[in-house]
Amino acid sequence: MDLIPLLADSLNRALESEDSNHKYLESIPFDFNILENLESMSIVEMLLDLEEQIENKTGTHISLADEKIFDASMSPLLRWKQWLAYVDERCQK
Amino acid sequence: MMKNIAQLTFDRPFIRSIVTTVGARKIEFEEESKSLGLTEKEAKRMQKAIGLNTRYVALPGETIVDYCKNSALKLLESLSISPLAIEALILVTQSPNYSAPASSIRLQHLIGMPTSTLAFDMSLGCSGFVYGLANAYSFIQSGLNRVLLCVGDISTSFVDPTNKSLAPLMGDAGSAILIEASPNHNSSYFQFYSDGSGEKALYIPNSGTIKSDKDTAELSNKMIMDGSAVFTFTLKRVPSMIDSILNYSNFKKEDIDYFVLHQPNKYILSNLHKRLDIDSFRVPMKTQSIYGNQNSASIPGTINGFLSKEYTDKKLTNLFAGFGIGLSWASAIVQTSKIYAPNPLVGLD
Repeated sequence: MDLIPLLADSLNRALESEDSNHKYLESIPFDFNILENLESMSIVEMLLDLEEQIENKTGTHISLADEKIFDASMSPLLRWKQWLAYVDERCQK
Repeated sequence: MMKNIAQLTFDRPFIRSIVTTVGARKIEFEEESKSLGLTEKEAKRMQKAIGLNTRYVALPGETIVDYCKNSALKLLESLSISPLAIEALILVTQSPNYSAPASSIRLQHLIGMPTSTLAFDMSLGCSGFVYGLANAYSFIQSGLNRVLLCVGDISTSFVDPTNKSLAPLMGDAGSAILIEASPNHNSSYFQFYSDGSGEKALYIPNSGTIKSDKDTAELSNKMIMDGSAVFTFTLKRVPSMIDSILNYSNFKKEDIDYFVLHQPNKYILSNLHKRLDIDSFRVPMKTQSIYGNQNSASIPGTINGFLSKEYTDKKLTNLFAGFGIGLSWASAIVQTSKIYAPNPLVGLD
């Protein structure tokens, strides 16, 4: 399963829900910091959205939130590249 | 050095009844979101992530003592037990009538309990039911025959009604739980945890002695929540707490009929449920959506709100887990057998 379009869509939707003037990011920089760019409620919304989409595609529910998700130094949301790797690893498990 | 775990086992006490009174005023989130100035998108986002739908709050001037008294009198009347036959009263609340004296003592008088009653308050929030239950169980184990535990909050008294992220979450409720000595062996298990480094994850500034704290000088005495910190705490602590109480009690996940957890929000409960990997009906999750976050009354509130028939008709093995403000968290495995647990009373009689 190609995760990148799913993750990009969910991020763009979350950014748009905070700012209706948000322009869709076709290409997301590897160092894009999600934690810094979204409010906590939008992050929860993005996680829910993504979990739902992954479940629709794979038939398996994968919990993406854990105790590190909002951690300022260890969150996988600190860099886009890290987020892709984190979700991929969760799906592999 | 080995870390000691605060854990207790009892074989004498059992829960005879649970009664909860919820606020008389029903607030629909759809309406409230408009008055809070939330955009349609913001409201939908909160509804989806948290599960907001309705909540029940107290009428102006009503207190937690009123709510607990209402629940207690209904409980005693239904079981035909005289208030004079109860030896102790514990009130767990963060919204007492006054900072002093303890509101439990006023409650003792209003319920009609004798002056020989042992009565005191415990200041705890979401973990408070489990802590209160353990205290009540300790008294029974040590020789008392009947203890009344009252838990709950009028959270609308300490939450700013214009706080968009906190006000729509909260519900008001007061529960009364009767604990008695059992003639049969009836094992129950408790574990407790505290982490004061998270004091400000969820707190009420300017509500105690500290008034000049730089961080809080500009704030009113209304509750503040760092949502991310509370979220992180919950996902870090609750799953391991559940594993730990199962290990301690030698019960397996499959032995537990219901995992009745504190009800903070839909996303957290759904995440915990997936991690536990058990049937969804065994982890009730609707309380927050219907009644609001009832703080220390959320576990009894969930039993009365959604499991009334099961608790009334069956013998059950239950895992209770409370977690939140403090930071404080605690769990228990308790067996119940056909207890009196009616649907919630709505408003004061």
